[in-house]
Amino acid sequence: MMSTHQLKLQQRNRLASGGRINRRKPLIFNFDGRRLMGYEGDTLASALLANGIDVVGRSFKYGRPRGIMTAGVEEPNAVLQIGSTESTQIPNVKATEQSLYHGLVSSPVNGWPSADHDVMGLFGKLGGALMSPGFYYKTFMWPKSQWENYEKFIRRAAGLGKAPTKPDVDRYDHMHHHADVMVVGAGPSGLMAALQASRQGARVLLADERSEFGGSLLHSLERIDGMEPMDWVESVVNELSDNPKVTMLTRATVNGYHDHNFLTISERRTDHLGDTSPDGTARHRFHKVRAGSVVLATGAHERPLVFANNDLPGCMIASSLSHYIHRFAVVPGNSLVLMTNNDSAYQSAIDWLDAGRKVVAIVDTRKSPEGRVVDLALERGIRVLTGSVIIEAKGRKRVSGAVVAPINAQGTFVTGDTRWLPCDTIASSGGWSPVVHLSCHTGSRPVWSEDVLGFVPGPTTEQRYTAGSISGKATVNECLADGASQGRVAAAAAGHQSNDDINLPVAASGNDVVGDTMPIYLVPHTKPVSRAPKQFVDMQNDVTAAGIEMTTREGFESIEHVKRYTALGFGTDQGKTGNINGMAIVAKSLNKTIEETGTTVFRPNYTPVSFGVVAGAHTDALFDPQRFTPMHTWHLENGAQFENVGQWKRPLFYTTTGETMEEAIAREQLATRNNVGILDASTLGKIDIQGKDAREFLGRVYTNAWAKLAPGRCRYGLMCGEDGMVMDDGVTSCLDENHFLMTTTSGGAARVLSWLEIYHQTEWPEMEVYFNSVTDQWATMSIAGPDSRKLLASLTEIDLSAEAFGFMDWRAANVAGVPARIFRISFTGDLSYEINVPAQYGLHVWKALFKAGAEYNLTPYGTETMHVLRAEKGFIIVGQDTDGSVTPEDLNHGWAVANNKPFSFIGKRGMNRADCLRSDRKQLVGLLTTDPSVNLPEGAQAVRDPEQEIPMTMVGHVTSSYHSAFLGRRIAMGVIKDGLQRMGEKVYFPLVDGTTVEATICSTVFLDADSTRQKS
Amino acid sequence: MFLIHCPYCGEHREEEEFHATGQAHLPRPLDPDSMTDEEWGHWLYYRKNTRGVHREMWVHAAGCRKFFNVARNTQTYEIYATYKSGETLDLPENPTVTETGSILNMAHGASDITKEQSS
Amino acid sequence: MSNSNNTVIMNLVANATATNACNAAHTPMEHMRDAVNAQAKKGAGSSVALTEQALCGLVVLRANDAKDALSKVLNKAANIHLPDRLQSAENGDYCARWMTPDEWLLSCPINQAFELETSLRSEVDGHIAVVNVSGGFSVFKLSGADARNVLRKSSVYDVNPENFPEGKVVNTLLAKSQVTLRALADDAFEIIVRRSFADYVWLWLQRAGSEYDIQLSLLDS
Repeated sequence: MMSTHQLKLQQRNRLASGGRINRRKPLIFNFDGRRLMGYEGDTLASALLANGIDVVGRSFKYGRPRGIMTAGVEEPNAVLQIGSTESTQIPNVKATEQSLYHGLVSSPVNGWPSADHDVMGLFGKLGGALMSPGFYYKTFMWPKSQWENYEKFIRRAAGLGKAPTKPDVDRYDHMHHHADVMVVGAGPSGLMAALQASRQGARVLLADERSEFGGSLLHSLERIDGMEPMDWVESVVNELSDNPKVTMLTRATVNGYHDHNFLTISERRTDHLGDTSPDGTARHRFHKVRAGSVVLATGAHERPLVFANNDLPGCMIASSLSHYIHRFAVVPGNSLVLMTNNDSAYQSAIDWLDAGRKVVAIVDTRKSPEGRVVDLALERGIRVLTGSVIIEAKGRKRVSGAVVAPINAQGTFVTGDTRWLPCDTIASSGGWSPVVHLSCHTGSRPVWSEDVLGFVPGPTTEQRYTAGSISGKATVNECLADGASQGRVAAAAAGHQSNDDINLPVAASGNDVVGDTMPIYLVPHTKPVSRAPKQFVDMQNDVTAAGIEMTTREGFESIEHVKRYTALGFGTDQGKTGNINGMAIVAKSLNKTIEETGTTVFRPNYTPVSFGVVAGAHTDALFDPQRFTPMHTWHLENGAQFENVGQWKRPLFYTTTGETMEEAIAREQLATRNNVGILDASTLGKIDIQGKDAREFLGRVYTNAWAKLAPGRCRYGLMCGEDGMVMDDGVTSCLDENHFLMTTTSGGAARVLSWLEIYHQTEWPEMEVYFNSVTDQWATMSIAGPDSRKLLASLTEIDLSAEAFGFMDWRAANVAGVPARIFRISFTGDLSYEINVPAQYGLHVWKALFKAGAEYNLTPYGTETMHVLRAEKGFIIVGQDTDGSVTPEDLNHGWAVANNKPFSFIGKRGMNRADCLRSDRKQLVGLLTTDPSVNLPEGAQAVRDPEQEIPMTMVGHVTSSYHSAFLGRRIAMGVIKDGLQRMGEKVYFPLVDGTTVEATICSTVFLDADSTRQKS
Repeated sequence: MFLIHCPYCGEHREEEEFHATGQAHLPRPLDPDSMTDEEWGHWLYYRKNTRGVHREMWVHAAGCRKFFNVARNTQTYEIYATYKSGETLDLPENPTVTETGSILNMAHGASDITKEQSS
Repeated sequence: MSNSNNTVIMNLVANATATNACNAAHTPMEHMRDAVNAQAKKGAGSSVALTEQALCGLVVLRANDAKDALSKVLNKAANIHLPDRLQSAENGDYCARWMTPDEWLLSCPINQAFELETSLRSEVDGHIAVVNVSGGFSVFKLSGADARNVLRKSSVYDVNPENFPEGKVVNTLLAKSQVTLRALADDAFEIIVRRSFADYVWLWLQRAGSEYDIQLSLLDS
């Protein structure tokens, strides 16, 4: 193993001084099995370049070697797999965005078996024809049945990274922000916008995707107000951080821009610290921002020029050279040929030269460039070839030379002999594409600007401003001024006006002449596009100029279609470097302007975000609220197995002896029917209704009559929608003349309250009635069984005799010394009391009941036993025996419909539609299997004749099916066409296993038809 | 994600606090029993699928639990105004955002669009 | 028997609260009290604290046209008026919070809840409703320099001081639970949540506050 010193020496491209790195903090990392060294402050990309790593991956389709091309988020090639353990694997990490940390383990995602020796490379060499545009559609989609097999092979070979197979060990969270002004991007424009807005008193949020603020100033030599550029940045940051109304986020990518100035930011809080986040720290944080004004200062991405073999490692974007040199003290090569159609790229060649490396030539597409930088380059003795282009790069795994040729003024063809310039690095600049992505997210279509030679943000309904190079501003001075003025109007629009003068900083290059940019995208070759070596437009998806031309020849004219057919801009980089070039090539081959061809519109997210950050803390126990009843701890201590009912946790059954669920619920049933059982029914929805119109209101929302219900009495009520279909049921009690307590199903509580409110607020606001949810206020326990009266009598003073306290009565009483409401209602068909006590006393009363109930073998039962007991008595469960297409008549609940009420109650008109009045609708009936032990599965479809041909005519289905321990047989309910008229008839249930179950239609009441038990 | 002005709370609040409940201003017929099946079905089931200005009923579900009306543009997502249930609101043919609308686009951005539409 | 039943229960509540039924009362947080208090650290690093105000008296008041009459009676009983929109009115142990245009949530000592309930109901003429919900809610207090940040991690509501000053009350969401938030001071907030959601909200805040070394404490009720 190499020593630290040897590793240090391996950084052959690292400059001895300079850069925003900490040479005292060396970091050892691993790439593709190799141990390497970088420094704190490096990105993975800068560390790889420092070590002279040329090939970082293989291309998606052709398997061609690819190297690092940019220094930022636009990187198409250096997409790596990161992670040292199975649970910390992260696919598709851009090396240019990933900060280096000690122990980082990385590997290429799309090289198989390795980036340097690639099987697919052979495939690629075999031919462009094989992997032409629309390749997937044309080749692998046929025969369709084989696509899955093809896909496996292609994905494995192409490699799209590898998802971890073990659970994520890190935490994630969310944070909400409300800002007057949200500034996206902290380059010179964004910093000035934030500064100006904050000086006007606005609450400001400033976010930048990089680890440090500064944007282009991170790699600039431009002095501002006499300061080094990053010293100026520091002074601004200091002022902002002294302001408590300013929030600043680094490593924070604004990924989405949604309606009404709602933005999402993915902040990478610990990705620079190691494989996993430190204890208690969220690895990523999702910031959800609502802003009064938004200033997009997202800058511009330099785009490359398209030439043959422009994907060879060593081909880079011009500005990235300055970036690596100044920010990281890395010169990614020895000898440079730089091609440009504009002035800005000259600085990169100058920086390269000043770093002590060789500049072979600057190749300028323009005949006579006039900017000040051209003079600066010439003054330093750099050779400048004007009116020329690099038509082709040469080399195998790294550039070894550039083929240069003169072109005509329009840049459409080569006009003279080619010449060979040996070099190991080719940089190119085709101009700057404003980063309009976020501006598109709210539906605003970008517009082409001939001045900028790029798309700029279009009109929007949002209170949105743009500042700096996103608007085509080119110089630092323009950006500073634009940032300040946009920051000023943005703050003013959010309510923070100011008439004070803007204190505008000045950059040194202020008055330098800047030459025009020449509109050129695809560089001509001596051969036609279709015959020239591959000229790549979208590196990540291996889309070539020839491919795009072919696509237009095949008849694809809409840019949206071209995009989908070629996969241009489809990669994880979303075409940040390739899109404009691609559109220019489409436009040219269609003989249209770029403006006419238009652009595709970007959607969220700007860059990939982790699933973890989207989920935030909403995972595991916090995924969804878990609601507990006041007696929950008792259930836990007594062997309850829980089921989810909505968000509630309800005991399904109890077992402490290792019995099975079947055994447990049989025991619970028998104990309840023979002695006494107890159910925690606290989850039932409870609505307190007060007001002089309460009774009338009940009459309108329930199907049955309420006019005569006296205080102290309870009544079952059925609630329908306007369509006449049953939507909820429950018992409502008259507490007082104008005071009622409504109960709803556990799952229906919120829906019913909202239902009452919507009718009260929008239809009948004149009615004097108030609804209040008291579901949480009352602990509800239902004791049922022949011994329930004796049990309750031992804990309360009131007379429980049938004469004094009849069925469907309620009484106020003390139970176990606690004020209670006791309701003599039953969901089991047995003698039963429902005890309501204020929730804080629930556990006390529950325990008191068990203490007193020991002599009666008081048995807790869960929802499963409850379901069986109620089914024995034919009581329905809304949502199980009904499905939104069942009327009260269908349930044989016509007794609960008072058609003679004066007001046309909700559901009346609906249930009286002709279709609802048919006699042959599906109706709820009991079903007894001929063999009493045979299970009729819930959902099984009924037929009248099991011998008929398939497809059979189905006449209904099973809604509830149980084993009744008390009756000693299976019982079921179901909806059967015309069932109420067919009592005693047989129906058949052909099951998926090929067997058929025979059953007899019967009453839904299997037990105690005359209700002597519950009325006893 | 909308920012919605609750006319009862008097503040703009995040969309998460609200639920949309469908087309607004569809009063329950006063005498359902005299309606034909077709008339009843029409009232119960038929809804507009507007492109452009639309009236919806929303409820401040996590806030004051009051129902109210929203006049908004289904294309641009601009909210022109919100108003209490029981109230009506006349909008001009080319509405602009009012104080109870989406506060965010009252400045230059929205008016560009509005002008475009009205010209 | 008309009014008798309801009056009976109110008398029972009165008797129960007057006697020792409070000893029989349990808060939804009790099951974690020992665990919480065992790990409670008095670390200097903590910048936020979470506690439960166990077993408060809580009464829902509803009124429209009768609002002034109700306010008057309330003022007589507790020396506070019904506050306006998004405001609270506090006097010692009594605090009324605006909930909706026709609803207020009144907190009081638990042994006063019944008395308030009966006096308000009987003394106000007009269309009002009074509901004792002392058992239906839990009241938490979140305080400390980072309390606002914990709320930012938890709630969609704009809790910046200029929008959420002392005394303001809003009904909003905390994670996925509906809550009533009140600003008690620049760095202290009251969170009222339905009892069955108490565990969820407590655990959520515990996690959201972990980066600020949150201090949890549950008093004996």
